[in-house]
Amino acid sequence: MRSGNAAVMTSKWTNISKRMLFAYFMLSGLIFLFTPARVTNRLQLAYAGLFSGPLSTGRTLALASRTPAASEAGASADTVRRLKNDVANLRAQLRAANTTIYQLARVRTVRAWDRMAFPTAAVTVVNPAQTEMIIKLGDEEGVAVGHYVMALSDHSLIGRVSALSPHTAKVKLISDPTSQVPVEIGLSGIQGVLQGRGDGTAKIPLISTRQAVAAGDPVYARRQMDLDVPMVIGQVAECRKDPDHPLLWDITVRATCDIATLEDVAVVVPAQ
Amino acid sequence: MRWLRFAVLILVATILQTGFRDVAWLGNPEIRPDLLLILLVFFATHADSRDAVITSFTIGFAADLASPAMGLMGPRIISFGLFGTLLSNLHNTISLKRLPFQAAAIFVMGIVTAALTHLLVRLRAEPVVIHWAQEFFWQPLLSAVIGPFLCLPVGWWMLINGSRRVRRRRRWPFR
Repeated sequence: MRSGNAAVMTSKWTNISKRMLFAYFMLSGLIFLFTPARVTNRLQLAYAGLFSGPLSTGRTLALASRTPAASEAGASADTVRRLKNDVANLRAQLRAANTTIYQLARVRTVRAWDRMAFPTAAVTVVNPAQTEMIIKLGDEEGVAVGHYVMALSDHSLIGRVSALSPHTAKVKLISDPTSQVPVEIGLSGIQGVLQGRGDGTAKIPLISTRQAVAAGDPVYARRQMDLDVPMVIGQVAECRKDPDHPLLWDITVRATCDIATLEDVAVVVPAQ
Repeated sequence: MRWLRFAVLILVATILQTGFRDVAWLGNPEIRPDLLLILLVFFATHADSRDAVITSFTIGFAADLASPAMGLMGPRIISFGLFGTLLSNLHNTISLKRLPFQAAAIFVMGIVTAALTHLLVRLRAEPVVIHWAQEFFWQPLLSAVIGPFLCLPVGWWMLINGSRRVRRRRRWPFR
């Protein structure tokens, strides 16, 4: 009897006309299209988590085929870049510490970086436009949406966690068109909002030309809830007068590291 | 249609497409062939029309999973499904047996699916950055060059020999 029912069900399914089948699938596509991104993100994260092994292997092989043999000059250039960012980060910490001293009239005994945690993670996938990446670290390791992500190669911030599953996380990079990060330019305290452009760069709009900004200035993510101390998030790549608004700068910012070749990152977990 | 073989093939293609996206083709890591597009054209021209509908939408779903770029699911399900079904219907009247025709079909499908995908993403009012040359020319072109040669091992794996020849019989009015 049961096998008879199963046969009837199967024949019903196979009897659906091609047009109805097309309509059903089209409807499913539309439902997927208008489902909120936070729900569909879970599907993509589940896929990345389930096949993280082959995906990471593929990426490592691809990078190995692209990266030229490490030379001494290349290694020292990396070291110089990392040390430069470390110096800039320390300056920012010093400035923040001085502010704290003046405001609270007491000295913290523990440096800001020592109060934060930096769980590391391997990069599983970076999208072709370099606006998002998926990393192997999830909410079970204490990561939360909004936490900053730092490149281990040069200790600069590259983006923020935008979606989470137990063992994987999606990171929205600073160049993503929907990314907005409150920043300061240099140590002079010029404040603005870093907005991604989707082409590997980001812009800081609405900065008056009265402010002193120059190419090469470090750009810091501002101290806020998810960050205990300002940290380098990029570098001013180009600064010129905005042709449409001559009283404003047109400031282009780039990440200080090569996102495409990143293999490991750390998530900045602020002190509780 | 051998659905288990189809599932394995799509899974492998999706993982290859996601994992090896950093391989530098033509010296530029941003230009790469679209394996799922090649499979879309293969199944639209080799499977019977009912199976072609199912395979087109399934490949679209895999393509949406493989490119977390836009953070959206749906645009490729619809564009691959719609144009895969159209190509399958068109193949009843136009033969795509010769390699240059298959290459042309892949190239055109690459352009039209990319165009509809971007339109649908805009419908959701998501900010999209369009890399015109890469998405509308280089990627379809590279897929078109590689595609016809990939169809041979795919046909061997799916135990499909040659192109589907289900043409509508032309009615001769004076018989």
